[in-house]
Amino acid sequence: MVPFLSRLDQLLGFVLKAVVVLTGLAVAVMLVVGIFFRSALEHPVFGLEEIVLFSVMWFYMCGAVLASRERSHLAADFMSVMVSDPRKLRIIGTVTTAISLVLAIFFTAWAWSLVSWGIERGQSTPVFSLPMWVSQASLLFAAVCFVLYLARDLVRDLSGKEY
Amino acid sequence: AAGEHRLVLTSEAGDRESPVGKAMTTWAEKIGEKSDGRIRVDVFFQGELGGQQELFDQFVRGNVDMMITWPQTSYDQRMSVMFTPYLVMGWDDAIESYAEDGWVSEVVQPIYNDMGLHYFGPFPEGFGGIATKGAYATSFEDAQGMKVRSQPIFPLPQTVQAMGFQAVPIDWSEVYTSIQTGVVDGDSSNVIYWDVEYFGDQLDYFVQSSHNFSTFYLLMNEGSWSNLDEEDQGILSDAASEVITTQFQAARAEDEKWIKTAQERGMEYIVPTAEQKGAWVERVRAEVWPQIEEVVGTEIMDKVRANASTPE
Amino acid sequence: MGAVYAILAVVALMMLGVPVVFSFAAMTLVLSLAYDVDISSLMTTGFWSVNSIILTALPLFVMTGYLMQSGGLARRLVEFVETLVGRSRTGMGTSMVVACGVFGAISGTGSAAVASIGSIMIDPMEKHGYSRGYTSALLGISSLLGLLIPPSITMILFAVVTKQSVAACFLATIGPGILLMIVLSVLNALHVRRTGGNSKDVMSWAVRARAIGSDGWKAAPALLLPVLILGGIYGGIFTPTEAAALSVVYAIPVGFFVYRELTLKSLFSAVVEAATTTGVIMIILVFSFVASRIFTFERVPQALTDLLLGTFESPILILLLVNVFLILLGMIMDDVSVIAIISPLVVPVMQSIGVDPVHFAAIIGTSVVIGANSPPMAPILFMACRVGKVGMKDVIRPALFFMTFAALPVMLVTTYWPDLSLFLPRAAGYLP
Ligand code: NA
Ligand code: NA
Repeated sequence: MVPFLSRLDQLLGFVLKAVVVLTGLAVAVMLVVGIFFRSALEHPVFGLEEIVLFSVMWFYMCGAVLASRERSHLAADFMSVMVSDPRKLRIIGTVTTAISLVLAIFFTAWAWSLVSWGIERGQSTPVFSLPMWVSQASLLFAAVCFVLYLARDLVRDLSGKEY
Repeated sequence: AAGEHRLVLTSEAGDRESPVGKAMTTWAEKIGEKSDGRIRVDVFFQGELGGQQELFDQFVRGNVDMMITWPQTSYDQRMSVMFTPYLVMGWDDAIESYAEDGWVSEVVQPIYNDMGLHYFGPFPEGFGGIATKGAYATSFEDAQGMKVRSQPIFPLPQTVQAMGFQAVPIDWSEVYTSIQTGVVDGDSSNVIYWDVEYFGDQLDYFVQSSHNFSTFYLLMNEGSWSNLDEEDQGILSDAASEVITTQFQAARAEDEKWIKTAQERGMEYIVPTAEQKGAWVERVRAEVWPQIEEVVGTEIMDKVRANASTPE
Repeated sequence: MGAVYAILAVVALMMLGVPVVFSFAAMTLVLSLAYDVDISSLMTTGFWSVNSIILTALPLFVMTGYLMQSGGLARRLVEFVETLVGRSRTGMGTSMVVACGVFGAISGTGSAAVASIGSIMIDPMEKHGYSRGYTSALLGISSLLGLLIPPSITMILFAVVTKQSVAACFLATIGPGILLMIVLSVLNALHVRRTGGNSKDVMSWAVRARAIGSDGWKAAPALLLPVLILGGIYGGIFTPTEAAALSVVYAIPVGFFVYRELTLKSLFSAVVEAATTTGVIMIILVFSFVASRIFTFERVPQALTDLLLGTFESPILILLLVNVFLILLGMIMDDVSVIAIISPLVVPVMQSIGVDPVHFAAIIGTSVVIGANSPPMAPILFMACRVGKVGMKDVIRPALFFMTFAALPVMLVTTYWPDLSLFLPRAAGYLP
């Protein structure tokens, strides 16, 4: 079970990195192509923004998931200064992970509400008529991954593993 | 009891002092008066609750109850018909076509109902034009090489292109700076009010091309509407009719007031000759109308062709 | 009342060590329960708020920072500045400050400067007799020039949240940024005099002039980047977002072909780093935008304005109160959170006492210099410690010294002398 999960995690990590490299560079290139078409060719491109925004949303959310994977979300390091007892620190750490997990589950519900509406009502972008839910699904994807990685963290915290 | 209902009313455009802002305030006040304070309408002005797309999503989902809003195509592409260039010609034609029993209202009401929105009626603004800095154009040939900002809503950029300009997509919040630094030469498809109020010190000319007739609509989310009993629904409808009737009388005068203001502030107001306008109408209808038909369907476009008047 | 509980919840959870993103999610949850907000409303706001072209500049400027580091642009810049200022003992400290400023004209954040300038300069400065704790503290403060000298992701964020012009906010922090550079250089010179005096500059002027020429030539491709970015934005060729994209597209070939230090591997890891850094910010923004939308819906900013104006007569007192508030919040919150939560609440207050939002942008910017270096939530100082390989105890005294005698005075001057920040935006025609 555990080797399987860690293989899955490695695969996900690879996919996430591939997606951010692709979308990140694509966003930069598309915007520059936009300047070029407008200034040099005097023929502005409509709808470029729509593709840029779809790409950048997935870029952000995959980046946020990568942070979860590495457990590197921004947090205050206050307790480790205030509390010196390692046992107490461990309990506090476990509690914060549990709280985060609960909130990630709420986030999943909120994001699902957004995406299911988008699929049901089929909103689309003005120029290329791209379905909005494709972009909105990035939030749901991030929410689900947060839950998975926080569940992993909680198991580790409870079993007292260091990392 | 007082405060029995709290309804949220907003618009994507217009601060407190703008015509739409004032109309929202009036609508809310009338509802408050007629219901003896049982219905409280909270008004939020431009940008307070988010941008255009967010507001419309919140509206259709029922988190915003009422809006005075421009047509939006995100839920139904057929809404593009409201941006059909040279749909109506001149104020009298516009007033007649957009009135409660006019043919445009008959086209637009069912589309809104399909989106889950209750339709009160239109809030006409006036005819759009091309506002520019440095130079102006009244023909396809003169417009060559001039860059104007256009909203990316189909078929507005296509229309402006067919008129000979280059349409550049720029977010409303960046238009001022873009004109100032020369990224674009001006703005397109807005009534003169917006160009005078927001970019007046940058722009030199307003050409009254009148390729689009701009109007807001008074709408309510169907869920919020059916939450009210018949009496309260009547109160909202009556108040809405009063706002709409006033605007039908005031819109033209309001537009003329802003033309004067523009001239006082040093902007030149140019009306193309009948010949010049005729050339634009011909070009635009030939080029853009077939594209619109592909999006909105033949049935709606037949209505447009049957009712649209020929240039005077 | 719900608003007060929500803010207490977010502070309590942050202090406990719950990651900022989930502390803000908790705030959203508390608000939605307190004000009976339909859950369908929450992510509708969250999604549309970050789905913004202007915000796209943020990951791109962060990416540029990482690319400069791995592509060798940062090193050429530092070497050039060192030769320019002189490799004397005082000169090294001044170089670090000035290099952070020059670096800031390309990069959008403080963290990129900490990583690249720190790894280049801390060892040489130790050889010149600076303690590592002192150097790390100086680095922590000077790196914030990255957000005072445009481009700046902090100012982009402020402009988006408060609907101001990005270009105007960029200009507002230049004055305070230059002031901070001067004050830090003077403090450093005093420190050098107090701890054993300056070394003799070994280079003759002729040698030095030649060195400036050759290092300048080597750094030219890197120095061209800020000219491109700022010239393009203020010359009307492109928007700040497009400028950010262009700087990424420019930095890559320079790193590959001119300096030949960039590899495919380091290019990819720069993009991945940028994604992680901005992903963390964006997901926090999602929740803080939702929270602040609920605040607006419930008219909380108005209530706050009425309360403050009803309680205090003098605008100066209100400004002072806001200063103190910003510093306290800056201790426990990161800059993104402070801007996202506080700006929409406080800008209406500021406007009602006649403070221009663009002026307030500069006040917030200078407060972040303190906030990012003041524990417990001191991401920049922590990072400077890691790069300088020193502990908190070595760095905290010099950090406090710089905050008390540089960052705080600059914040106060910025607050009470509006012309310092408003002169440039006015001259460029963004403000009347
Ligand atoms: Na910067
Ligand atoms: Na802090």
